[in-house]
Amino acid sequence: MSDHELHVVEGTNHVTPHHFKSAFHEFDSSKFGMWLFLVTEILIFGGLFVAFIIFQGLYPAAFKAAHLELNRTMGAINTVVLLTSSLTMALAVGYAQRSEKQKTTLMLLITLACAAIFMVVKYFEYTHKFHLGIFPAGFYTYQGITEPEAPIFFSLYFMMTGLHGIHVLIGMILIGWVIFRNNRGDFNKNYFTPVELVGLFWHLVDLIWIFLFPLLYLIG
Amino acid sequence: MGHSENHEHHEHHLTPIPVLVKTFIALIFLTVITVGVSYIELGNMAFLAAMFIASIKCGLVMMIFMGLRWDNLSNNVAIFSAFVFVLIFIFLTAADLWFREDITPVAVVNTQVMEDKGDPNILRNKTDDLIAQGKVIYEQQCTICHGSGGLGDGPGAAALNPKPRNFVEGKWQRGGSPTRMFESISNGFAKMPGFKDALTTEQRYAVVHYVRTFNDNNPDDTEADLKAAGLLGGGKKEKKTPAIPIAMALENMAEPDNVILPAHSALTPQGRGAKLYNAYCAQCHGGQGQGAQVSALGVNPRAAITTRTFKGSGASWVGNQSTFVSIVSKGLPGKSKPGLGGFTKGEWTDLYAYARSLAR
Repeated sequence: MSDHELHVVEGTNHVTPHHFKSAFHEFDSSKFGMWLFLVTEILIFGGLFVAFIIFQGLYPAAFKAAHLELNRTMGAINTVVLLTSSLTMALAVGYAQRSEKQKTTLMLLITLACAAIFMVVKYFEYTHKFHLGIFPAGFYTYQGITEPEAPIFFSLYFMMTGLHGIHVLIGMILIGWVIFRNNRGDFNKNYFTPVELVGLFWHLVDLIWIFLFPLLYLIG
Repeated sequence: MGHSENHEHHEHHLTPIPVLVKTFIALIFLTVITVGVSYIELGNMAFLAAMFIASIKCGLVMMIFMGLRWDNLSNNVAIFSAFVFVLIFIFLTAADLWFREDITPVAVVNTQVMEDKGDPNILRNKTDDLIAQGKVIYEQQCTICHGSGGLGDGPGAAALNPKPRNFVEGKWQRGGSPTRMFESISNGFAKMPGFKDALTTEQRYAVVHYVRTFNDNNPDDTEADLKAAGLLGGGKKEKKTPAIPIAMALENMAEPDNVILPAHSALTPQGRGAKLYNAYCAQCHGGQGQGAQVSALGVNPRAAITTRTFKGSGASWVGNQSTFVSIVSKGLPGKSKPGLGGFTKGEWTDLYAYARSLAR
């Protein structure tokens, strides 16, 4: 029997825990766990989307006026930046699967750079709003929109983009961790689970933005 | 057993690099489209269009970038169930918004409102009952001008120019079909008054059918007549403000809520003006003249009485005593503000002063 034998994945230091039948079984289980986590993420944002849609339906005029305060160009740039990062993330996973360590690192670095660009653009958008007195909820002092319900739009805007921004930051930390481990030589075609899972998380961040951008910036 | 088991049978799916790049190009293309479409004024369609494009993009990212297309069933089921539940969440919550009727202000009228549920599509066909009913109404309401024989020779006809219609001749200026005649009776024309408020739909159609008995050759409804009357669907539809009689309004009026006098009120609640105000005005206008109270009067039709605040530009009538007295004593007919009378000059002055202090 080989029950007590360590199942080291070929070419890596990774040991497949004994409760898994095989490395693939471990990979499959980890990924299923990740997908379940992503389900909860979608439900969290789903609640915010519902709130937005309801208030938009109640106060269409205020939302229309308020959404014009958002910078469409910056939003569009951030969309392209995130889509690019999604491509490089998918490429990083693809190269990791092909044991191309250097290309994997390069792609992950580009992804990280895109995430940073996204946050910088977001920073400029937020500070511009703060400068005008556009804050969430009771801190709102902006006088430029006459509709009394406009602050509701901005509360939702800050809540939705803020929560999304937190996800971007967490994604950056995770990508940095994966870069570090990839450089250390932890991954090859037989074991790349962390790259794959961080990739899934990162694509979800992109997915959320795909809905946030038209909803907040384009329709209002 | 052992190592060899680790990577037998199962091979990770390798997505070709060009497929990833092409997917990216498609995503950028869709982004350009969605931004472009947003500059076109589409109204409600804008939301659907944007969400449709976003869903395609979402599908591409999930299927290709996240590899769901080649992934196992459980992962697919898990993630799609999330979207299904979000859609259920959106639909059930939004349904409350879509299907809830607005609260519309109600007109309070001085007369008992008659139940008017007459269906024109039934009533426009003559029956003996309608003709008999019409005869009674005709003799009360119409003979004074049109004459009891329908010859346009009633006692009032002499003073009228143009002369009242002679129904026996059967010449019609506005169409002689039932729905056209109904329209004329409802809204009146030239010297003839409209009877929309005086007679119910059924009563007006009854008169129509009686008048038609004066001449055998009156035309029937054509499709165009029905369409103009909105009886075929797609035509104009009369939207009526729900109306209720004053008595019913007062009966149903809810107690004003949140009538709390501030602790440091400059007003003296013991004064005569305040007493008059609280006795006659506060029920609708609120203890502080804040107005905007919605007193629900009923749910079918959904109706409510709204009063405006005294404060600000909307209540300039509070700024002048003679205007104030005139409006308060006469009321605002049709706007559910009843008139108040019988105050002495001193009482008017006090009430006015109190209302002014609330308006400030």
